[in-house]
Amino acid sequence: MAEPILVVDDQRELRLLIRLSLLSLGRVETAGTVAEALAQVENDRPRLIVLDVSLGAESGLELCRRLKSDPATSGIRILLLSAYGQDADVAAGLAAGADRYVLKPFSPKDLVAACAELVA
Amino acid sequence: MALRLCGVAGAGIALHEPEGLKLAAWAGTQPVQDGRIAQFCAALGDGIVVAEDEAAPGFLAGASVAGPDGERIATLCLFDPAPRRFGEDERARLADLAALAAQAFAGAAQQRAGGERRQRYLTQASHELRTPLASILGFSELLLKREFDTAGRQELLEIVHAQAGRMLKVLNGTFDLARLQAGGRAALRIAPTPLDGALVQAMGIVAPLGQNDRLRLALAPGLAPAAADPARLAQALGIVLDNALRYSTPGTEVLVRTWAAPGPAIGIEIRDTGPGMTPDVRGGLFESFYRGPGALDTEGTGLGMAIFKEIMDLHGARVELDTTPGAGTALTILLPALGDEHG
Repeated sequence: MAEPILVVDDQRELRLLIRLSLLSLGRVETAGTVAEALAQVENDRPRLIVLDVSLGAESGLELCRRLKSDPATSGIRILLLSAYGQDADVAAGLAAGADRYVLKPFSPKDLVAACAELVA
Repeated sequence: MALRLCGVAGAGIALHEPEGLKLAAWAGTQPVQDGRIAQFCAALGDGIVVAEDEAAPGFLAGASVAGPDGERIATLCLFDPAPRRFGEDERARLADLAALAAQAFAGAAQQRAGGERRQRYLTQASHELRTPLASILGFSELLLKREFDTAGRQELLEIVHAQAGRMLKVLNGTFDLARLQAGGRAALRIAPTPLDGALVQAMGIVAPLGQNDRLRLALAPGLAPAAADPARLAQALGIVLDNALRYSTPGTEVLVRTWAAPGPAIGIEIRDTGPGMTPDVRGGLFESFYRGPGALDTEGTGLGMAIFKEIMDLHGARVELDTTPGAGTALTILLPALGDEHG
């Protein structure tokens, strides 16, 4: 498949970690802000977005809701990554339309497995 | 208590909750008619009311219990199956009881708010530790399982090392703040502390930023010593200098000015010509784990200004913030000084 996986995280280190982890699944692109992420979605329609819930002052949750409520982008699978792991946080993530909610820290091996399942 | 004080057969408290009226506690005899209390409470205005309902026998009196904003949050009710007189004395007693109940409710609400604050703090602390831990666990797993060339290996190890250092900073800050809060003022070693010495120490703390040449000092001569814990004062001043240097425009001056203030106190102003703060940033400034936008780098933990504020509060110092977006920030501290007899 030609469509990439898009990694959206405001932390450079995490973008690198996730990109390195997911390389076995094909092309991986990265974005650090909501604007960058939207541009990537527009130009390079990803099949999966690995999306950090808090992007500095911006909200990954909001971006997730926006993409999932737009018929043009609602088909993109979204895996939310977050360091907030209370039941209410997970529930909010799933309510925003996310396909999976993974808590930081995560094992790269488990992240690959979860992503592989979503793009299968 | 209401039973004995007012000499009635039954008494209780009804809570006015968003979902409706809830009888929270009742002691002694209750009216036989279902819903009589609810009806009575719903019809009750502010102050004390005695029901005189011909249709339903017995005696009912109630006093409204006010919440922090003056709204009615509960009704204290008295009931007696037999009609009775309710004199001035009894009204006064019921009013006293209602005031006591209001205090109890306010105390409980405050405790709840404290609990919520602690919960928020824990949630944030956990978030701040999980984030660097994600890098440490993730990259080390990759390093253990995959082949990297020397340069790639070095880059990943440097990230692991830096993120472990970040975790340590968060842990140290968290414990430092907890120690200050738990120890209170008694844990400070208050002594006559020359302010200039504390400032020199603070400049030593921020020296690694390599920005001390931006500080312009305007120090009043002959100031009385501050009544302060020298190490904590230097730490607090180091935090504000660090913030002023880090968040203001590179290359611009940061003014540090001191003066003798009435009290006696020492006035300290740290003024920068940086971007200033929006009301949002200003509101969050002293909150734990709050980080303003536009830091020079991502080294901060978001605990510095919370620690600063705690240290200032424990010293009985006043802190004022004068900031306008686009027009810089001035932080003013009024720190208690020792009087003439010590100076």
